[in-house]
Amino acid sequence: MSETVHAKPVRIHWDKNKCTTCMSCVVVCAERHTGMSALSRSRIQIRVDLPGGDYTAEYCRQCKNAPCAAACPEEAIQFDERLRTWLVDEDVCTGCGQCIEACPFNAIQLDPTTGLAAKCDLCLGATRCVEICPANALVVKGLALSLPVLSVVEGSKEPAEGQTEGAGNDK
Amino acid sequence: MTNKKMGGWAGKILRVDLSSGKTWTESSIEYGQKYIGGRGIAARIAWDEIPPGTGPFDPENRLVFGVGPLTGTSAPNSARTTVCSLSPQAYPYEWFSYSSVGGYWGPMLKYAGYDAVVVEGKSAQPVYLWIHDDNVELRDARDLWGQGTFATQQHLTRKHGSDVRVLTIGPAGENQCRVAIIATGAGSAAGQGGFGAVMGAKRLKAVAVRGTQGIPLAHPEAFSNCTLSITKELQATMGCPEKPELDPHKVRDFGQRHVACSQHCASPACWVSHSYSKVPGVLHPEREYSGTIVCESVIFGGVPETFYDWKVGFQAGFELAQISQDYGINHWELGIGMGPWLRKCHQEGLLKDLDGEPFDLNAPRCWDTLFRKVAYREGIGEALAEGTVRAAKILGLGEELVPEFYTAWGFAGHWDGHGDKINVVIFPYWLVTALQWAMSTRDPMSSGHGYAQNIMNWSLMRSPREGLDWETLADVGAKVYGTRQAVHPASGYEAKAYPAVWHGHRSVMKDSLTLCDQIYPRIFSNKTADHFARAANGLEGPSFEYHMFRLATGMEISKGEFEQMAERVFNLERAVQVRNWDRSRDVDEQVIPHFDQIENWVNPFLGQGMGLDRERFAKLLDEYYTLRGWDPETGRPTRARLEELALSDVADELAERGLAE
Repeated sequence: MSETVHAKPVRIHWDKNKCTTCMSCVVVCAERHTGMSALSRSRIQIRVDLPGGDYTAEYCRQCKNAPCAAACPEEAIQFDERLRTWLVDEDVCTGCGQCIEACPFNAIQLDPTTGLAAKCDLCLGATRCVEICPANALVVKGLALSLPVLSVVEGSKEPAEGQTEGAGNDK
Repeated sequence: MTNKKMGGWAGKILRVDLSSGKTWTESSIEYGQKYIGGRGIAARIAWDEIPPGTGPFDPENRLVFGVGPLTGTSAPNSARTTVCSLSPQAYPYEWFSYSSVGGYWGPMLKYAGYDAVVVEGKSAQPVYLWIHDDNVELRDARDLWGQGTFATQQHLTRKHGSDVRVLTIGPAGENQCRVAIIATGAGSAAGQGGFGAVMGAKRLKAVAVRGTQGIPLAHPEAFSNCTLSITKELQATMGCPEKPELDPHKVRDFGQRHVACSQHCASPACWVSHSYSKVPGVLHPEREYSGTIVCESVIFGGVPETFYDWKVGFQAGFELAQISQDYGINHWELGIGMGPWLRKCHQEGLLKDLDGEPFDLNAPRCWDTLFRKVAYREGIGEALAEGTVRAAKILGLGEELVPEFYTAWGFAGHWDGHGDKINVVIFPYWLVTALQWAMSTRDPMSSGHGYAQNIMNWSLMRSPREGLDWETLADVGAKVYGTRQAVHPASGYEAKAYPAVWHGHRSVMKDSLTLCDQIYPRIFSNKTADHFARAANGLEGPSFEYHMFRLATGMEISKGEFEQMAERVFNLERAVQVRNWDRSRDVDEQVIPHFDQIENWVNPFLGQGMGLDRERFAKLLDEYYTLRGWDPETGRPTRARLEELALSDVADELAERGLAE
């Protein structure tokens, strides 16, 4: 079902070396999508092992041939050509969890409140996690100039590294 | 409030009685709406539940782990937990005090559904508290007793999951050392106060938490927009405009990187917090250490060209910071107080060695020995575990040398221009610190950082490249304190009481909301034309706390009413001190002799070192008590002020005891 040729997806990229593990992205994602501050309802996770242990991020890569979409028996995960992002149609999703099994990045989960699949939708263009990241560890990649909804990081004189790179690759 | 949307608070206080093993919950909302959260809620509990005559190690003592309406939200630098209890470290009064700890524990407690955990009683056997959302259990901790803070965290995360966050004590807390910390992670602790010893006395080894719920917000969209805007303003460094760079050698050799010492840190370049990985040990070459160190733990390596210039070196210093964290000992007490005091005793020929082992602060081995002796009360450590001020009396050792390092209440110097010899602060700024020390139960950080540290770090003396000239600092000061004289370097004793009062309230806000003490309140900026901090949405820096509180909780109150909530808490804390320890102006004035000495640094405007002018300081105290609505003779809150602050019941009880009119 993923044989359709889509535009190149827009996606978030995490730079481990820059990440300060402050979790701002995690909480702001939940606030944006659920109106609550929570770790459990976020679509991006930063896992920190304490004390002094390793850390990693789990987030959606917006795969070109998305295994989550392929696994969905209801075809509830569709590529939005305008946003160039995979979106869950909550009216169609049954919460069966097969997409979660299929995702190699642990980037989808069943929202503990709605019971439906929840994944990164790039805030439909506002990418709050990227905006709030104090360390520029999160950037948007594959951003084309023709995509008008993405906001520019406020107060930053230069585009973050990777953002430029992403745009360049896209041309 | 009933018809309006409410949020911010998780809604419950978890109560734990270790004597009976019972746990229960009560609503936190009434507490929160009157006392904000954290330190404010703890003050009310102290007033209601800790009678005069109670000591820190008594079962009746309450140990409060408090978070606030902003903890765990996207509010920048909001992940603190405020620990409040009777303080074993405080001297000569073991009064109710507070200490703040960062990391990830506080937000996790909120996600589990609690705004505070209040522990009373005393367990017969060592236990740990395991909180996972609504499920609360006291579990056997006999196998953990004796373990360090690292092993305890590893054990509990292996047992309950790697996402579980733990507050724990090490051997120092178990052995009721008065300088024992409550630790989390590799570098965070509720350090000052000795509250680790309270956990030890209660036989509470650790509190492990997993929370999977969400915190409701009254106005989620507006709140998140507001916190984003404030986050952008904070992305300058801490109360200091110059952005420190990473050290290329340490990046290469030890993986040095900027790291958030607490959830939601918006200032990763803060020079006090760095993370390292796999640093080979010096004392224990077979070990590798990973983790974060913050300001005071850097001291163990020695700080070149300062009074603390011992030659331990980075690697051993990092190792020592971790060893003492593992034992659960207070870094500030050891590095700024006890170590330098012992060195002075040694230099004066009063101290030969440490029970036969050589005393030399340039040698990592000596520090390691000192830590072990303190944590396990070995040899001279039996006395040193009581903290320097008590140890000097017990040992009859260098008592006359203590005041050089210890400012008041059993705590080593901190931003006061006299006690510590590393935080550069000049006259007249330490006058405000002196007032803060006079009114505090400990070193008054969380109000001292906001005034003295903030002004000094923004001055050209401390930040030659990015700082502001004295006249600009005074101009910005006028917007906050009502007059340029509150900040001008030639202002002397003029207009110093008001900043002490104002920052006293900020201190309560920070420890109650909860917010980071290094970052708030925002006053100076390099991003605005007039150098007064403002967020992109136009909010003024000093109002950030208020706006985030309002949008998270949905309480429709004015700035003045929010200020009054903080003032209520400040007065309630004072009332607890008056009732339980007969706190008075006489007690406050015990800090004066320390400030008589000539300061450690010189104000370039004045060209000569200053000490305290006692007469003028007495007038400053008059001014302070009057601003507070306290009786300038006795230093006690007046009935009128307590009633204005909706604390009539407190005034009544004080009156019954003859402590109010």
